[in-house]
Amino acid sequence: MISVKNVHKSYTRNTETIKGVSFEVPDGVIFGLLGPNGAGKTTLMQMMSTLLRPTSGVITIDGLNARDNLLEIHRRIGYLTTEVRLDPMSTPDKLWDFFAELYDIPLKESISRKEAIFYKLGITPFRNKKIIELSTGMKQKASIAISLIHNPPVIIFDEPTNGLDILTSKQVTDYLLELKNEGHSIILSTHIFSVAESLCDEIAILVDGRIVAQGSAEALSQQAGTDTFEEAFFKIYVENHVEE
Amino acid sequence: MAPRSSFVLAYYAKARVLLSSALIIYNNKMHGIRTIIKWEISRVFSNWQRAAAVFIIPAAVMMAALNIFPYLINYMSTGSVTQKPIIVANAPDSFLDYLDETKGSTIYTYVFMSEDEFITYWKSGDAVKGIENGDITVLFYKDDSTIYIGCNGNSALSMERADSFRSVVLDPYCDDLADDSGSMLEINTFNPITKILDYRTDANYQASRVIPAMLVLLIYYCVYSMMSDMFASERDRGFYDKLLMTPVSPKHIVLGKIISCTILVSGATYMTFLFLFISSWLNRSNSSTSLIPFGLMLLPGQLLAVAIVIPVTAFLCATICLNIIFSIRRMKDVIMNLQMPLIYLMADLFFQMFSGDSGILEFLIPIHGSIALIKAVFRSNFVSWQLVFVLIASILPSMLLLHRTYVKEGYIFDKRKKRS
Repeated sequence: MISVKNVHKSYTRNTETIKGVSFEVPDGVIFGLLGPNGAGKTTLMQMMSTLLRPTSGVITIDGLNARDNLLEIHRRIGYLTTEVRLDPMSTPDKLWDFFAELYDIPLKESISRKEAIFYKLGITPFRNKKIIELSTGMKQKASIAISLIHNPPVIIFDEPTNGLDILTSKQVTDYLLELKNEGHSIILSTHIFSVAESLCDEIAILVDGRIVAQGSAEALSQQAGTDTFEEAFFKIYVENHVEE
Repeated sequence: MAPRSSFVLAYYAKARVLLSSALIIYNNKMHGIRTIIKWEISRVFSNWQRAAAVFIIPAAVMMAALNIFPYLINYMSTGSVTQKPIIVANAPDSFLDYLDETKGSTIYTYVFMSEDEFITYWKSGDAVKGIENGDITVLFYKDDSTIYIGCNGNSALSMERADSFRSVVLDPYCDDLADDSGSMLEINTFNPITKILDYRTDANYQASRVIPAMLVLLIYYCVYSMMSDMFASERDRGFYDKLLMTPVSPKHIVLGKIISCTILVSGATYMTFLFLFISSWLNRSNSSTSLIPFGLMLLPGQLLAVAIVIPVTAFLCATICLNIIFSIRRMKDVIMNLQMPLIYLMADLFFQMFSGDSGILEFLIPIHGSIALIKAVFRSNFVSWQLVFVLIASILPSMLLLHRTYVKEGYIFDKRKKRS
């Protein structure tokens, strides 16, 4: 379970990127963060994954404070961002082995997990190809596989389907649902309404560093008094966005 | 008093406990560092271009520089890039026989003249001009059994060359003659050359002007290219974040990468030395300006000092690069700033070319001290305190730079984000 309590983040003295965000994500739930560019989604996700430190507030993962239990937290979360470009001269197979060693996963377990995930995500045919020779979708699949190498209870994915074709996107979302059913907590950010609507049990709309609305897609539509979730999002955004 | 065997057993048991605890700490604490080192080294060897860039190019650059440098010196002193032949006038048959017998032991080339031809050559003024331009002229004056060696007394290089020729060819010839016939030739010169130099020692001396600074320059070049790939490119790609997300401490990730960089660069530098030794053996040269034969003159102790200084210097260079990389966010700026120490090293290279022996305090200047130590080794001035000074001057700043970079974790995490 992830708990975010009154988290603030400032990069400079005068500007605050995250302004007192709080939410909780129980086990077996997919939590979506939806918002325009610059709303603070990536900053929030990087804070949850310990890559950034909050200026104030507390983030706990399975009861452990993210500030003090860095390495223990890393064993519990899998973090993926679309910005990641793997070592171009390496292969998915070699990268898996390298990360398995870093996570100190026993060899037998690592091999069986590798086979299973590679099969599920369709990586097996290109597992020995260099990353430089792979398509965007293939690279993203390899990144996802490596993020899940240690079977983390908490998964944080920053736009996991960004830049993927429909088929690969479907494969990834199906796999996320499978992980949810296995009891993993998943936090994902996305720009794609259909993904948010179909995948997320709960969605938080982030505008200018604040969560302005939170609930299921249906509840948010009802709250905004609109027919679709997409319309609800735009209405909530317009009501809460302040031009600077 | 306990019997001797139980005394030994008690110490053995203690040593075992200590060793096993050390192994546990090593396995637990060093696991991440070990994995990173293994990965970085295998990454270099998995790609032949990368391996060549690390191991072959520096050695090739060094070899090229060392082969070009003597020609440059020749050109500067004589106006000719090639070794000028030795002009030998009125050579007796015994000398020609001696050259035939010892063919291959020297690389000198000769122009032989009879006495009459030499007189004409001398009277025309060409001989004097030639000597001024670096010609070495040898005249066998049979009347008083004297060999005259003509060289430009104002040019140190010309005099060194004449000295070398005397010690390598003429002296052994005279000894040979004395052995054969019992008669002794007296050797005089036009110019007062009183000191007989060992050309190999001299080659070492000449090499000390260039090789140490070149080596350190190459070390920095290799470290710079590796560190920019290991940290700056990986950070730019986001792969570094992926590493930071593993349960390996950021300190261990940084240390693992720096150690692998140090191992690879030291390996590449040792490889350069190996190339030089092979070249030294293949190209035995008698030119006083040749730098090639230096390797054969290094004693094991001196080599050990150089072998210690290389990884220590590489580690220092790596921490300098690390500090630059973590202080600057933009890849373009990182690359530009990483090149800044190269300017300092180039300036040092020129300084070393024209400076004499290094003073005590020079050994305490980071990087410059390493150059000074290798220089002292080549000049046979090396003493162990110099190594101690260099170790202090290298390890202390390395630790300070590492501390500055990663003791505050914010430097690895938040700061780079602030600058983005």
